[in-house]
Amino acid sequence: MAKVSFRSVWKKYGDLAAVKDLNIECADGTFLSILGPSGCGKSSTMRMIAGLEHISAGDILFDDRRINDLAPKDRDVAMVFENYALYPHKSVFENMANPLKLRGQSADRIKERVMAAASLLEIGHLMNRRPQELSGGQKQRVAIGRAIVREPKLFLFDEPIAHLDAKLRAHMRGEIKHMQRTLGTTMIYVTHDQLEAMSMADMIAVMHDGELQQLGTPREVYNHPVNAWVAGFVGEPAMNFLTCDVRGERDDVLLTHPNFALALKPQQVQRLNGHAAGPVRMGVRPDALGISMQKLAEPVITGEIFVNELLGGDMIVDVQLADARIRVKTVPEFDGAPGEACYVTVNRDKWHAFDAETGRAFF
Amino acid sequence: MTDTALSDQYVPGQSQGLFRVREIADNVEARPVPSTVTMPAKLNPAASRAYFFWLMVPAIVLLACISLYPFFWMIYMSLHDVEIGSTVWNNFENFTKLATDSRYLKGWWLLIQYSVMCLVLQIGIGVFLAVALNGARFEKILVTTLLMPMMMAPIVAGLVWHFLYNGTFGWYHWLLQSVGILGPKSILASTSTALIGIVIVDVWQWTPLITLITLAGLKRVPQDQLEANMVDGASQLRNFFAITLPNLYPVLLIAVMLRFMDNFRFIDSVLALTGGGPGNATKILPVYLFEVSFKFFKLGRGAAIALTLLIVTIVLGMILVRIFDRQQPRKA
Repeated sequence: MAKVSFRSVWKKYGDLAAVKDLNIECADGTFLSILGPSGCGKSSTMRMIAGLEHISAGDILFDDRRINDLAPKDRDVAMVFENYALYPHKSVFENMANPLKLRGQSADRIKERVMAAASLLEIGHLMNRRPQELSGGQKQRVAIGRAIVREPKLFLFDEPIAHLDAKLRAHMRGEIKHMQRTLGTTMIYVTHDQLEAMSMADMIAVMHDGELQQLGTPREVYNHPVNAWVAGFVGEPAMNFLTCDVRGERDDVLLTHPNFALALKPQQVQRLNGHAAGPVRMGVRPDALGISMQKLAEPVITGEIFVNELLGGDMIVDVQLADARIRVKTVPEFDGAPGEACYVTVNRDKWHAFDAETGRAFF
Repeated sequence: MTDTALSDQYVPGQSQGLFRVREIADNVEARPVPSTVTMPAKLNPAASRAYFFWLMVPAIVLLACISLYPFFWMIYMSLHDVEIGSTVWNNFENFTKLATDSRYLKGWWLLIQYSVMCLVLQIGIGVFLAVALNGARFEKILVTTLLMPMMMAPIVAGLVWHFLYNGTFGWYHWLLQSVGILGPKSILASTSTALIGIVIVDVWQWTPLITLITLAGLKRVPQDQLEANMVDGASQLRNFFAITLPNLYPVLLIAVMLRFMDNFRFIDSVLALTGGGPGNATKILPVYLFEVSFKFFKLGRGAAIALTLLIVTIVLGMILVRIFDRQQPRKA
């Protein structure tokens, strides 16, 4: 178990910077998820921790000890790879025993540890099989088993469940989270799937173009994204963005759009901090919107239903406005048909305003 | 990121006039699915086998002419005394005599020594070079340079080395003599070292092949397994033996197969270097076979020797293929 610190870490491939000035403190026992789209530098970050890539600049510390120059074998980390990286010529038992064997543990101890890990992961009956004879989910368990047989300072999981089918992935999310809580080992988990990060992590580091965008708890990242990019990346269905104008002054400030005008609350005006007039981007999540076929008293957006998507327990309605299309999450009983006029309500506490140019969040 | 700005032409509500919307009633009943499946009465005809057979006939006939006919002719000859104008049945004498033919038996022994030495040295040096060259700075240029011996005709290689080994003006001989490894006699002139002389030439010429094959194999060693093993706690050296080498086995088996078969067949360089001498020191079996058949013109006896050589080659080849199959990952 260890605390992991990044101090101005850079990774450069020639002139291309894959990771730029990364600063993260990850407390002992934390489940940290590094979230970002492909090519954002998250895998490079993980590989630098494991010692598989040279750290171009800056330092990585485990418990205040600089590990930049240690060989992978001396870093005492355990890694699970995206495509499992099992040894095909070894049985499941030998695969899992490998880290212990390489550290010169006795045969009895190896057997004990492997069996303990196998029973935790419920793969005890697979011990004599070869990796080729396993299903994707089983391979993934073996790969995790190989990581947990010894007690490393740190777990590194590189998109370990990306190749599983949706149902199994949902199941494994719970299992991995439970396992990490049980063992209490610090975990760094790389993923491009915001749902995985949201559902499992204690802390999420959102990365984009090699830069850390936001570091925070899943709640913070979801409810208070620092910029439009994070707001758009986290959340499914994705946040709606509308280009609006801010007009008025003091207590009477309005957010205006061709389809609607919305009065700002005093604290929202305060957060705009002098950005009294001009364009802003309004961001609002589909679940902060309501939809109705009757006109209601509260401030509403008038639009036309474009299409309905029934997702079983929810319904997503795409609403066509003058210059954009927004998605609204509602109950499956909603009975509007495409082409009909509808009325969308906004939860006045649950929308965001972003700088139209920089994308920085006002609130 | 859902700024889904639409094209200017879009006008809400317009689409309804352009497309017919199919209404599906909510109260449509679910239909029961039949629970039994019956085989269709008749299957669609597959392409006729005769068609494929006739497509293959020309190739089969050609193969029979150039390969099967000589093969059976060899078996026929091996059972007869073959002279020009006469072939006489000789009651398996060609074979029974081999058991007491000391040069035949020695030929085998020399062939085994020769092949094993060649294979061990070529695989060892070849793999070492491949690992050293893999990912090296001037890899492509270095590999091309290294391949040059392989591009030389074996008979030419034999002649060149024949001169390099020469006791009076051979450059290598001078080199080996100056460092005290050799006496005044050429390496090929002494019965105790001549075999090593021909091994060196074979290694010189064919190690590049092993390097080339191994390099191709190295490119396919899964990087993630190497990395996983490194994180698991392996050093570079252990990583090589635990991951790289097992992944190279199939490739190396093919290399071994190619090379041992070549050693059993190719005698050009040996003929050019020593012609089997001094004495019989380098008279490996294929050289002896050549001598019997085409110098002494005992075609019957030669055919018998060739047949035994062929059988051993086939058996060894089959064993290697069997091992190769076992190395292949089984499909789940």
